[in-house]
Amino acid sequence: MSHEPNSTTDTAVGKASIRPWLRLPHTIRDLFDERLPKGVGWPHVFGSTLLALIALQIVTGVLLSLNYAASTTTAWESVRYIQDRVVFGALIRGVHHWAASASIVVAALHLGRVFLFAAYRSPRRWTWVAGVLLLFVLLGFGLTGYLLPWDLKAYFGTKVATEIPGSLPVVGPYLLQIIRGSADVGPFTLTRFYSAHVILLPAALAILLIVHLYLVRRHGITPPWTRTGAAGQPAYSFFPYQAMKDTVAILVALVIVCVMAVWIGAPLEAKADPTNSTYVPRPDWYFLGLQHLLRIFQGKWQILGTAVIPGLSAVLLLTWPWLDRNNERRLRSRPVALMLGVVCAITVLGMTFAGFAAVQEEEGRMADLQTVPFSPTKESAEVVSESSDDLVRNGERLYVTMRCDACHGPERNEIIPGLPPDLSYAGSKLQEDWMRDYLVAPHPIRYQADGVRPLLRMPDFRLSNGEARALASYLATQTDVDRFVPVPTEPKGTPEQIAEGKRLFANYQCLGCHVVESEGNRIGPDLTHVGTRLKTAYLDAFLREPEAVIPGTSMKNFELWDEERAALVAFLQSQE
Amino acid sequence: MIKSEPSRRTFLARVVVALNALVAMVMATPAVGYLLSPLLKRRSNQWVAIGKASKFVAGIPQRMTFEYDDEAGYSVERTRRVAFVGHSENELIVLSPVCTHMGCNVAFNGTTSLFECPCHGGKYDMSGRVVDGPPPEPLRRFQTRVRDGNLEIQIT
Repeated sequence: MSHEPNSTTDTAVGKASIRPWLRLPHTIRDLFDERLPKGVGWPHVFGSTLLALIALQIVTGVLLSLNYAASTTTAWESVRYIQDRVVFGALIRGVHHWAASASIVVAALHLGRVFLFAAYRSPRRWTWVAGVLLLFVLLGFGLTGYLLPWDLKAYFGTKVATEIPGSLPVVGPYLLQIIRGSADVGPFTLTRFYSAHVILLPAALAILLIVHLYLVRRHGITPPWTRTGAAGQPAYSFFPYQAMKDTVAILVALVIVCVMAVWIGAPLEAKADPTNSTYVPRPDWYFLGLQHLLRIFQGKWQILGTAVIPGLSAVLLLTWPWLDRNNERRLRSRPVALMLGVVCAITVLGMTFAGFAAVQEEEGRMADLQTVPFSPTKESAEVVSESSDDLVRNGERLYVTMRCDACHGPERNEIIPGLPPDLSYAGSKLQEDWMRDYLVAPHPIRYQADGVRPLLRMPDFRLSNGEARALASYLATQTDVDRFVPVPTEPKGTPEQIAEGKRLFANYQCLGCHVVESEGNRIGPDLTHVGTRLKTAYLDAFLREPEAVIPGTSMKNFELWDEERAALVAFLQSQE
Repeated sequence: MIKSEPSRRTFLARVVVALNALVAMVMATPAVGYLLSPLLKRRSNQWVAIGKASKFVAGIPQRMTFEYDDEAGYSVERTRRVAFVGHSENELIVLSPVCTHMGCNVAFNGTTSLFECPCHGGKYDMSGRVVDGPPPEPLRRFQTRVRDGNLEIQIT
């Protein structure tokens, strides 16, 4: 493409569109005016889209780093601060999270397009190699970024991910120590991953991107469906024709990313807790396939899954332009390459789905394991050495320092929808003795549907009896007497009422959803010892209008008469 | 065909530029909001006790070190700061030690009875007025009050 220097009255077809206010340096004008080969169009939008997503990741990443503090004592707290308190923080975090996934998808589509169009042949072999390395860098971003929020998901996901190089023969243990910075995932791992995520990988990305884009410009776009070496027929110029298609593709990608960021957002689970023994590690979706290899190859075959297969795949991908010696680009002349490509794509997708299914199953099994039957252990009253005021104050202090609010506070739904109960009326709902016993040894109360793991389970904080007593005393002061009118003496009901309640309990088929002494169905809460757990006022209010107490509950409003309700409450209170 | 081609092309070019500009603007809005977020933070305005009010008698300014909880979003840090308690026209005043020129900490020189800045030679008298050097303004005064016999100053 030749240009007359200083040609300002450029009105010829093909150059007229660049208005004076858009007068650009010649190199960029050449780029804009480049005549693309015939056949270039919608399949060629993925490269530009990926570039736009990477730019978005750089901008949102820089913004997040302004408030993020990479240490085990502040990482989770600062992410939560970004999420809850910084203007547009949740949106920016959501965009960063979803654009990461989107860029992997678009990179895969870009790779697939280049493969199908056989655009990797000489002289574009090194363009392909730089592109594949860029894909690895993107995966590296995903792996290191996953740890940064320092929540349960991050901690256990990284623990498993770093075990993979650790399982290699001979060098494994040393490698593990170097990657983690210490024997276990901890503060050094976090700073290492942060450094990789914001310094090393961006540097690698910049270098590879420059090489990749330079080579793309230098060799031009491959003329589609021609023989290798044949010159393509020039057609439309890049600007505005291909630029329009690129813009539309970028717009679609950005809209999808923003919708996901607003609609679902970026998850933040409870803070990393190395003592949690029931958490099922789950890597980001694009590593599920790799993780599944470890399930298939175990024992002495493990090295196949950890090193041999991923390593050979990477080598195959990188050297493919040299392995493919065909000169034709038309698909029907490349049956072997096409077959291989389809088999590889199906394998990767299949392994990812299989890995997803396996994680779901493991989580279901863990949730079942958690629902062990409860046997209350009423301890004899502890020696009372503190006044009840002190106890309440200590309990409040514990409530604050242990961050119970993170899951049970009024704003909890912003982060984790649904599960942990609102404790703002704990004193109206739960009996103090029960709360104390529960806090010493938490156990699951609500069941989950088969295969569904609850987002959160109450962790065992290993409280001492005294701490549990203080917390229970504090929670007992958290009442809502307007909604749950207190019953002065908590009467246990007359024998007649209890008998009538038992009859009603059977009539209304309560066992259809509830368990009493291992009879019934596990849909609603276990009612075996409900008489020692819930308060009369709460049971009464809940049976009157379940939806008003727990919005969205699956408990039906049976529209009971007052006497019926009193009888049922009496029966439930007798279940001690 | 030849006549319509430039106009179609020009139209497309405008659409592309406009769309990209629109996307850039929409995406920039949250980014700007996020960057401006610190401006929306409420100042803490907390009152901090720095000593028993009765011990501050007229004379040379006393250098007091005090601690308070500095809330920084997700963390609360115990922070140590310094203030000078002195008198001006029979009134108790508490001066910030931060020189108004470039923000160095001034020290009180007993022989000259002046606050002197080690950085660029700024000098203030006992009530904080500039007497020499580059400082543009007198030393900042804290708001004060006395509660339960303690002298308290307001940290902003």
